Amino acid sequence: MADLNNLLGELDDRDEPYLSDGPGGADELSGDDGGGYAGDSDGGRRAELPAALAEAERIKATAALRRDEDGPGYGDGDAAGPGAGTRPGDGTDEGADAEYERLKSLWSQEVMCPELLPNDPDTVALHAELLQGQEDTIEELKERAAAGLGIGGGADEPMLASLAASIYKMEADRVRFLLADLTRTRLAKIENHALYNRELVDRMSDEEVRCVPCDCCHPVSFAAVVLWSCYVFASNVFCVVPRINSHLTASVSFADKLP
Amino acid sequence: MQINYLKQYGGLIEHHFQRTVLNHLPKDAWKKLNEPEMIEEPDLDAYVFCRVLEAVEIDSALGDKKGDGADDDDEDEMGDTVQEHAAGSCLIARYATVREHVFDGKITLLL
Repeated sequence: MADLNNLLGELDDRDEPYLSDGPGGADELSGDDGGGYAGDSDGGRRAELPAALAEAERIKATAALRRDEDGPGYGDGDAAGPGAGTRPGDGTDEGADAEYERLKSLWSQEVMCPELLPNDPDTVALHAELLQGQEDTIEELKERAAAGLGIGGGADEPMLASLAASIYKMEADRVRFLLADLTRTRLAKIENHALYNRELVDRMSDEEVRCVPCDCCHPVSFAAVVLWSCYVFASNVFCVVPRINSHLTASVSFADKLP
Repeated sequence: MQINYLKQYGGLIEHHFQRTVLNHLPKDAWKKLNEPEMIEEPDLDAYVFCRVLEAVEIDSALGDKKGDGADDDDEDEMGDTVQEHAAGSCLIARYATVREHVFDGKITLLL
């Protein structure tokens, strides 16, 4: 049974890892027969640490030591891919694409924010364009792999082309999810507070503006706005109509009123 | 075919609401529908996790519509509700209090 009364004290005292690489570290632990509480000494506390945790602690300490030896240049430049050069704890990924990080930040901000945030059309358009280019690359790599060709055009390892296509596809799927979920989140916010968002048209893209029942955006009658309210009210209270299609129905309804 | 179905469906819904609701509404009620209190707003008093990127001053009484956002714990001895937060600190705060800083890029919301 864990000594819960001393748990907070132990956490405060734990300024350094349980195990060090020196004498009395993981090797000493593995040689111990785990005799439970051997007293209040550090030796007794180490003996309770599971072997897997001790190994993880040792690897972490070794990695930290290696990172310190590498100096400030660690993770810069030739990162091998997403996640390369990551410093645990600081929350940044220096080797990753800055534009991708920008999109990820845009998405996370939008997801966590209760209200609609300003649109960033440049970032979204850039990634939509890059996504299209990446899909072309994936198709090309797949064709090469099917034809028995390598990445460079020669007859070297068609498996490499297939592997590269898989990696490209995984990366493209990630970007596609961010773009889709960003759009989905923004549309949900617009739909949930459609009338409130009439005054926030400057934060929306042209496509999003079409979803807003706004007199200043579309030459629709005020009755359309009332209809929108009735529709939302009915779908919330009576659940007669599927909520998810409300903006589509409203768009069609408004489109009929356009000149 | 799906678009036609959607248009017909939208038309039916519109006709249904006009017949059951709109035609029976008094004219005065129409004017009230566009008043601010009739329009549902997003919950700006929701609490969010955020990280301070630049040193900021946050007024915990800002945008407090309900009057319960800034309790006694948020006030100092002088009754001041403004608190300074250094860059790098992580907070749980009402969104209304950090809203301006989020737009300025001084505070980022955490997922």
